[in-house]
Amino acid sequence: MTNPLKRILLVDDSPRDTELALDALAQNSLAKEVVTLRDGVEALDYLYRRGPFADRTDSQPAVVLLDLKMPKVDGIEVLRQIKSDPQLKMIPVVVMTSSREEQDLVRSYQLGVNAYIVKPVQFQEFVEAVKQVGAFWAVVNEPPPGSARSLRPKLP
Amino acid sequence: MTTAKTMEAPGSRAGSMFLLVFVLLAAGIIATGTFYYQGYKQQFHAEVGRQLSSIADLKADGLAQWRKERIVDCSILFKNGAFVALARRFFETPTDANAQHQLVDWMSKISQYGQYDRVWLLDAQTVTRLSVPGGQQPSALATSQRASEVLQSGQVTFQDFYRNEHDQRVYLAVLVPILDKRPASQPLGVIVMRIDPETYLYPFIKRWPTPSPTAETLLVRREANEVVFLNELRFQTNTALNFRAPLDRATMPAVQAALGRVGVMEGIDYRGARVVAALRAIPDSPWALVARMNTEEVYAPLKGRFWQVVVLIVALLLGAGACGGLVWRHQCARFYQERAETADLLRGSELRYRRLFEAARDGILILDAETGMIMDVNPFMVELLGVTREVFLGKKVWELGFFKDFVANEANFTELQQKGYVRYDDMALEGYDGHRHEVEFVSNVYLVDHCKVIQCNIRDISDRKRAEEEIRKLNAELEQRVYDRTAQLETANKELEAFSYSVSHDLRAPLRHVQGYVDMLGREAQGQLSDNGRRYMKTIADASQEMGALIDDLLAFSRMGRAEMIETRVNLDALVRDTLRDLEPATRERNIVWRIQPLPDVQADPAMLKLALANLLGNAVKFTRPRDPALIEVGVTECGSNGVLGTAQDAAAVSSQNSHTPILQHSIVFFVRDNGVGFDPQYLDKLFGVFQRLHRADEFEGTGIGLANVRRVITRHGGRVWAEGKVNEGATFYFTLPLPGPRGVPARSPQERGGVFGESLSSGAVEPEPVAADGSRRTSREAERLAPTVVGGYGSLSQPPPMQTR
Repeated sequence: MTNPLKRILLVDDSPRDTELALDALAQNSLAKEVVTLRDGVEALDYLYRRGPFADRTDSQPAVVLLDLKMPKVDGIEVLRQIKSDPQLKMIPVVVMTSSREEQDLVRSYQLGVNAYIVKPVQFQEFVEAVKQVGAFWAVVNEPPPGSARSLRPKLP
Repeated sequence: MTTAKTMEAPGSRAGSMFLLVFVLLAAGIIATGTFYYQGYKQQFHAEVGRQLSSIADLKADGLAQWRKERIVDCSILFKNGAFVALARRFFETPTDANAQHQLVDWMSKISQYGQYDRVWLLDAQTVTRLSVPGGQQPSALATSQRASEVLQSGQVTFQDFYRNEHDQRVYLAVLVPILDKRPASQPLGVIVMRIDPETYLYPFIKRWPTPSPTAETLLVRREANEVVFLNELRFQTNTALNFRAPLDRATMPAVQAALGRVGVMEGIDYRGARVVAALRAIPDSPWALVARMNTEEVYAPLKGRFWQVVVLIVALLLGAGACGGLVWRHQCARFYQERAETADLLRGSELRYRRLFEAARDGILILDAETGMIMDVNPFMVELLGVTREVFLGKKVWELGFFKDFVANEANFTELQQKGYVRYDDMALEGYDGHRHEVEFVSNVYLVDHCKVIQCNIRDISDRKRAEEEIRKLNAELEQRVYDRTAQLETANKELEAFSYSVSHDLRAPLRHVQGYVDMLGREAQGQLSDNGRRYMKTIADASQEMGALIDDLLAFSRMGRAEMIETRVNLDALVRDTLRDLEPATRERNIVWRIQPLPDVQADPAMLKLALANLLGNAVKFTRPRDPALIEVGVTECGSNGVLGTAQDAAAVSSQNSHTPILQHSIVFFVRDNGVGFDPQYLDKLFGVFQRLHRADEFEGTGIGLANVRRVITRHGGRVWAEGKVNEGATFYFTLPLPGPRGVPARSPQERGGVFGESLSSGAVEPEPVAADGSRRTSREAERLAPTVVGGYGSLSQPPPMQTR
């Protein structure tokens, strides 16, 4: 695994989940290239380089890890916008959610999600899942052109 | 309404008919009588003719015979040599007494033999030389003349009736010349043999074979233009040779006979009386014979017969007339009786229809079909519109304001006249008081007494209309209520969905956080925690883990209540094998004796059924943990099909499963039996409840959802589930399932099919499940979806799309 890390965009309104995810990624040394955002608006701003991210110059992330249940703009809407935009739709999107509801599964796949992961309740399983996702998308998978690896963005 | 037609009186047509029949009958009788009488008359005439003819024939033959005999008599003397010699001797010697004596002897014999009243011997000078019998009886002058002719001709001659001038009597005579056998000899004299007709001829003629007052035979001969009667007549004297009649009296039978006619005729005789006569000619003579009888006498029997026939005809006519009269009288009586009865019937019928008309609760109008004039109206109509009868009568129907709407003009009326039937289903009729009536208006045309009539029936349907309107309103309200209720249900459904979503998402997240942070804390505070501290941490982790399992089970239970059932024919043997394979982690270290009977195919949703089996078998494995060896049986029971198995357990078994289980005869009872720890039967009713446990968690793990799931699955298949057991003596779980059969899937209520909202903690909306082509391939995913507690572990990270298979 000599490939340099690719950037991961993690969108989750729950700081605990974010922390747990980052912890899980960190256990596998995958957390350095993770951008964490709190809701769908931020995610879209980030991807469209507008608002607080208007001056973002780096490339698009290699993968977006997206929670579904979020305030303001939820994950499904974010997914819909990504997959309906010709510029963005090549970015792989992985839904990571607590919901096992079928309607969420169906909607997500209809909108073209690349993977759908139910967050296990048990922490160890969660760690395992995040580890595998991170390893796969950030290391193994070859991202589409235009999502070059970059440095970790400056984050507070 | 119906007019009685007057029946024809018996006097006119039927009477003349009767008379005609009688006349024809009478004519027939008379014709038959006449015909019979005429036939009889002809027959009688013929018979009379025959009788007269036979009498005439008899007489004629007799006369002819008599004449022949006379000629025979002559032949004795004619050219008799001995006699001639004797005569010659006498003439030459008149004194020869011997000769004279011999001659007289001859002559006497002839006279006697031939019944001649006198025989003379005349010489060639016609002088009488001898006469027998004795006495000088000179011959008549006519005889002397005839004798001269005989002397000339030498021929035997028959002298017809002549009158003797001496005694004025009528005689006949035969003259025989005395001639020897030599040729061309001259006669010596003449023998004259005189015949007195009174001796034989006249009596013979006069004789009639039957006694008859008028019958008579006459002998006539023609003399120049006259007919001469030769015999004495019955009704007139001194006629022989004296009575004559001219030949132009053609009706006289004697004349016809004299003219040579033969046969039977009717005519008028010498007395001027009508007679029937048979005419004959006597051969070799100038005579003609008439046998006649008065017509009156002849036809006397005919007359009798005529009157007989007349009397018979009259009697028959009278009889026929009497019979006809009797029949006629009878007919008349019957006619009048029938007429009376018909009249009664008509009156009854008329009354009935009149009542119908008057009592009908429909308005009825009778119109003249030609003019549209109202002829009659029934009381209901009058009452309906609140007017009087007079308002209607004599008016044309479109002149009345009420009917403006539909019989408004003559065009409509013409249409009715042509079609003969018009119906308006829904018309408004405004009464005098302004009240509007909804009516049905039906008119039809028919004939009454060759008169076209329109009958209009007007039915007040206001009540019906009101009721219909009410129904319509109620329906609309009901629809609205259904709509509202549906909306409420939809809202409730949405709320449930949201709730389910919350449970799924929001409850799990904090749990995950608890676990995550406990884990991180454990790593962070590694070595700083006391044993107790570590134990507390572990307890926190375990508790949150249990809670997660509970939530997952609950969600699965709720989802299963809502999931669409996909029933197919399921191979239960294979399903049990699959389930056992899945249980392998739990059974690996165990000593379990499995007794599994061959199982039949059933009609079921394979994924759901597998969940139920997994729970039942998993329970059996779990609760036999203290046993070595454990014994677990799976099979079909005989006695279960009537559903009587289990008594105390029925409370639990039936609980929500109501008593209407129509599938029993098409279902089969399965059981799963173990020799495990069993249960206390008094808690049987809690066995299948959600979160109900009969064992402490530290004895046997579990969430208390498993058997609730089993019951839900079996119930949704239309089956029943129940259990029996005792503490430490094992447990047996029974369930019924429908057999696959011609009836296919048993009918179930929508609640059973779609899930029961109100049953405990179900959540989420009813969503159609994707259908997998093959139950077994779907099984693992379905099992995951339905029962995460049983099929533990997550072999894969990513949830595949619903339509996709692994």
